[in-house]
Amino acid sequence: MNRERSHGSIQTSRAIIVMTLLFIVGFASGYYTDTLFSSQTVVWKEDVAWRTESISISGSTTVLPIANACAIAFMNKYPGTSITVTGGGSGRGYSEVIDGVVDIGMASRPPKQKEINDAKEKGVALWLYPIALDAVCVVVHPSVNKTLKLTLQEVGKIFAGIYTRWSDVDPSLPDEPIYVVVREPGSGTRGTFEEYVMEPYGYDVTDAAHVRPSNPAVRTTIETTPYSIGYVGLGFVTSKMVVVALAEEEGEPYIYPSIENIASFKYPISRYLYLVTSTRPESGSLADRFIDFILSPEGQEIVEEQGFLKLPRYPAGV
Amino acid sequence: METRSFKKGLPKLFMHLRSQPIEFVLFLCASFSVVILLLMLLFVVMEGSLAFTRLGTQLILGQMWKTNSDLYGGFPLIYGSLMVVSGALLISIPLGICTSIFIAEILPFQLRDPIKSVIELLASIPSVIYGFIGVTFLAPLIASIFGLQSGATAFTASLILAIMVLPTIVGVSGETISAVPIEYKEAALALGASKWQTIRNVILPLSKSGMLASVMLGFGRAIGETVAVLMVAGNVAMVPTPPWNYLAPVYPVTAVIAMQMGEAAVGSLEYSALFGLGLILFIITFAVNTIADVIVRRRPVGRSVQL
Repeated sequence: MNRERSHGSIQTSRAIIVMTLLFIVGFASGYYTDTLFSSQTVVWKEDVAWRTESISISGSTTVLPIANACAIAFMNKYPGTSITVTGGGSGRGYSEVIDGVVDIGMASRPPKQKEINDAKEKGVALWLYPIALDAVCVVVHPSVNKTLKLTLQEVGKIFAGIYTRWSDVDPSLPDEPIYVVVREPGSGTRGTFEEYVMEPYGYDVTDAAHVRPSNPAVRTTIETTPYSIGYVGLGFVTSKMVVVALAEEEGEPYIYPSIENIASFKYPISRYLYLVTSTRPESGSLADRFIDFILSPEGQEIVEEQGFLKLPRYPAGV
Repeated sequence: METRSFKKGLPKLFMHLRSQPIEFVLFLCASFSVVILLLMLLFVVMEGSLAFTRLGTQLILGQMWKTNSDLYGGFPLIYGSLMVVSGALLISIPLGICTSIFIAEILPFQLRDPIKSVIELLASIPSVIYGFIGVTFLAPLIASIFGLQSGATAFTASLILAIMVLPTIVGVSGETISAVPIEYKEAALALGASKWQTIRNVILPLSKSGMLASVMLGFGRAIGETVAVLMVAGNVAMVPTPPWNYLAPVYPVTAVIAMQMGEAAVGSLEYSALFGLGLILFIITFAVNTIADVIVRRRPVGRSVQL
């Protein structure tokens, strides 16, 4: 019995050795050709090294459509470059830039103190590049009302669960329960929203809030759920929802998130969107050129196409 | 008994490894998954330890999950997971076991394999597709049937999960039914038992343990499912009122982890609490899988059967 077995194992061991050798040869040849090609390009011309570079970007799902569209335009313009864009939220954008996992982060809010401390501990400096203007729009399902006007505090009370029925907000609104939709903690959109609407009044989001992981998910939920309220970035507003006009306080004018109102920061929840790097990218590197591309007229055109606002040519108010 | 066989087996193994280099390579390959499992467990325990020391039982029993105020009470989440999974099993156990009996005993021989592979095909559909169908089709349907504001409820998630675990339950319990020795069936039939009597008095008692195991495996599959559940469960971190209200939204553990992990600052209490939840999930599935394993091992074929 033993002899039979050892005979069998010799045959299998031969097969395995051959397979292993094939693998090794395969890997080695792949590696060899790889180094061959890359050394060729380096020798070719120093200045165009960025044309074969690849960078990765991750972070805010609000900024994602801009970065994605710009990456595609950029790669079409300069074939050979490779830019990978993934979402994950502003928190991920900052943490991965700090850890050096990605080259560029996307953020829809400035860094938190914890993130700044983290960066300091790891000895990196965060560089923020504003690339577009955005507004967090409070939106409701059309069943609530076709033109809804609320003060920031009223919105806060809705999201804090102090108002639970629409008729609590205003007797003229339907006597139906409010379906509150929020983003997950850490989301830049949620951060901005709470900074303007919840924190000034000391409110906290109600337990009964429905959490959604992205702007598109909030959009779908609002579109399909009667008597729902939520908030999305400007680029995610559709005709199937009603945008709420907001006033800073009772008695102040109610303002819609129109282009002029956001650019002049009259709309209460206006914000910048950022790209983030851990050190200043080397001049002429792919990361540097990509950021320049987004800030160029061509890139800003894409920003507008995606439903956001171009950076004002001069600082607002000047 | 297990440890004794270990004591006997290990020296044997090392002798083989010393004499046969190629078997050593195979040994390395085989130990890979075991090592990975141990490393993962270690990692989860390490990352979650902060939450367990800081929060203690609060992580399991606490009622409030509020990241803003650094409150990490996992009870509503664990409750949500168990609620969704038990709902799914309530639907899929009768459905799955009836299907497997039908396939193994009643369906003509020629049709068995095609039908089986159709059911197995269910397992190969990516879970995000289930979630997608749940969001676009099932949720609105449930909302209109029950007159709800939104169809994203525990019931919707259970329904989707029930379909997802069906192949596991049908597959494993089908195996145990076909493992019942043909002589037992023939004996029963020869004694004049009808087909249904044979199924009820011979086949079911003999394959009981295998069916239980299939349910446990289904449980493991269901409780770990993330994407589909995240899309249809509604995600409200509260125990529904009343607690058995399946038409209310819930926030299962896997959905919370998937949703918040990307945003949690590494090393924060939130991050650790998420790992802690992961560990709890790990322990639950591990326990259930172990029980299933033990049950499958003592398959009582060969016991006398009372007709």
